[in-house]
Amino acid sequence: MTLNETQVGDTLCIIDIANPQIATMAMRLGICKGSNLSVCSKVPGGPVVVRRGHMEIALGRDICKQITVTKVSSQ
Amino acid sequence: MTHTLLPPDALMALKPEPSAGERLVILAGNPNVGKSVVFNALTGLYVNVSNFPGTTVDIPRGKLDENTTLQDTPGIYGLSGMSEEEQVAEKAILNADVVINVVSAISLERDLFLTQQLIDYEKRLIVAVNQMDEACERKLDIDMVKLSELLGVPVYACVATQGQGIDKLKTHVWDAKTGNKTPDSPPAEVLQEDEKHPGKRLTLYGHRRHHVNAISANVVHQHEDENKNTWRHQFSRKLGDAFLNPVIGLIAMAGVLLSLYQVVGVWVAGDTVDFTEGTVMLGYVVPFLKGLVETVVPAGNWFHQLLVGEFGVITMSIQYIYGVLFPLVLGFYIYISLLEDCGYLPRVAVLSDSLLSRIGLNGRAVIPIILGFGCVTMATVSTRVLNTQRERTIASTILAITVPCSAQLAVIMALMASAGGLKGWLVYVACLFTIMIALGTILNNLLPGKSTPLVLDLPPMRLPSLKNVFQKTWVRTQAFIREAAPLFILGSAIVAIFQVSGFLDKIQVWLSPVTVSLLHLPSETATAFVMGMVRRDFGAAGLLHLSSSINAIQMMTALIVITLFVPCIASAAVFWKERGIKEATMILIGSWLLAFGIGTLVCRLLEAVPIL
Repeated sequence: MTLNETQVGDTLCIIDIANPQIATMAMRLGICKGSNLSVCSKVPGGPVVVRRGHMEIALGRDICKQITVTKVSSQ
Repeated sequence: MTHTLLPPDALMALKPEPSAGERLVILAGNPNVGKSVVFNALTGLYVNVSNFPGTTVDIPRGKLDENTTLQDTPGIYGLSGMSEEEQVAEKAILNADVVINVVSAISLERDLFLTQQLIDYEKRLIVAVNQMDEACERKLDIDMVKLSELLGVPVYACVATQGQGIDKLKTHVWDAKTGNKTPDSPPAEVLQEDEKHPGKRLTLYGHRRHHVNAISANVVHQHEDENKNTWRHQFSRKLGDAFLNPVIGLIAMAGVLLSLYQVVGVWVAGDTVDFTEGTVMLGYVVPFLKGLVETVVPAGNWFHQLLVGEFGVITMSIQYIYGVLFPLVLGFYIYISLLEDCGYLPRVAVLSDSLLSRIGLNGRAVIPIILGFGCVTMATVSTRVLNTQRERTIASTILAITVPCSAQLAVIMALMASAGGLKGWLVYVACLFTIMIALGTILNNLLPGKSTPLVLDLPPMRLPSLKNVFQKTWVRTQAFIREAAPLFILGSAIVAIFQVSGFLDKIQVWLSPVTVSLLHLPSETATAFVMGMVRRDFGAAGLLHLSSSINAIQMMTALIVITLFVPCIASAAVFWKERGIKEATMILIGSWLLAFGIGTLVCRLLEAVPIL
């Protein structure tokens, strides 16, 4: 599934980031293939906020659709 | 996409002359790591904010010691030339003798990417690990010795907001070293070239990310279970999440906007400006200046009119800049800096992202739009925070046409009683909101390209440091006044010439038929519209003495026309400077057509459906 299809509270592992430009940008923020993160907030029709360690990052819907993830656990 | 603004040899030409003893230290780091606080702590208050040559990104400069310049750079996540800010930072960093890299103790893993990139670029580096107090609160332990060993550069712990670690940083700047490069990383020149190719870049970034994640895992230890964190940290996190909840977030946003209106719109734009403009400027300063000029130029003369007449260059620009603009901008920047430093503003950006991305912007644009309700001129300058020229064009256009500034809002508020009261407000807000969305949608479809999606780091909610808020406010206000003052003077000069030459009266005569036949308004309203060009609130105020003689529908029409009509001469001048002559002319003509077009439509609709 892609990041926009996840639920708040889910812990995820990133499988792939389709768009190379987004992959480059995300890599700098510490989000890359194999990294774990959790979904801490979702704005309906808007961005998904993910948490990694003590960091929170808001990613626009269009970016989330490019990020394939797998669920590790859910709350 | 170009990697830098200039080819490499032009970059060399930009390198400052290595004059005897002049050394350049650059401060670099990710956004929200407290870099500007470190900068202020290292240099003191006397900071000089200027634009980097050829760009619009603010670069503060200060003195580290007698012959060392310390220069700040915009917060960036890496040197990839992805935005104007990154290009500016990269150029500055390549010229530096030493780079002070500020990282945050609570997001070390992320921040070390830039650190390692600087090391791979073979820069002499010293690392300041800031926000140690917040790491402590989160029960994070960082092994500084090991971090320094693994990176191969000196590392110092800081709490910049309390001045801790700053002295050490200052004394050890020249101990900076070129550190341990990512394994198998090529020489800096080769690497910089390779990182310009998107394919190679991704691989290189992958290696670097892998390398720094290992370093981070080695030096950062989370002590206890996160749930046992201090109540302060838990509260901060809960509050942050609450502001992102659509229901709570919208209620909070409404509350913040209302209090913003009360503080800036009523107390500052109303009461304070009444005092600074009415009492101080019109009571003392303007008569004094008039007297001064009259010792040289006799009253009644056209030149006297031009200098100190009703719209005189000298009197009007001083009265406007110091009587109105200065208190307004100061008040607004205090408010915005507070909201920014406590971490609220980025969350508003996230909430409004879906709406704004429909009109070709993204959540970031919420900042200039909120600022617009204070002063459109200031907001137009702040569209620089947006990533692309396309977004800046859309945001500036929306600001110039649909957003009423606080000076104008205050007068509109007074007039709304005679335009249907609460019902009037609903019609007015619905009308402007519709135009804003329609205008944005049209521009979004018309302009080539696509809006960039939002990627925004959300700093934790925290109590803002007042010292930092005031410093920031002061630097911003100074920078704005310095930048806007010449444009205001230019604007006043144009108006003064129009008035002295009788052109202002002519426009009023030309406009009369339009106001009478299209807008069904008395011909005197044309005067109010023309005054609106001089100052937006003058236009609205011009309607005040008509309020008893026109009905609610006419008043509503007039208010909408006045809001949409040309922005004040100062914001038009800033618009011209920021967006260029072509866009500025288009916006000017567009606002005339829209104002009269929509005005006609609104008055016909209200006449057909008498809801007021």
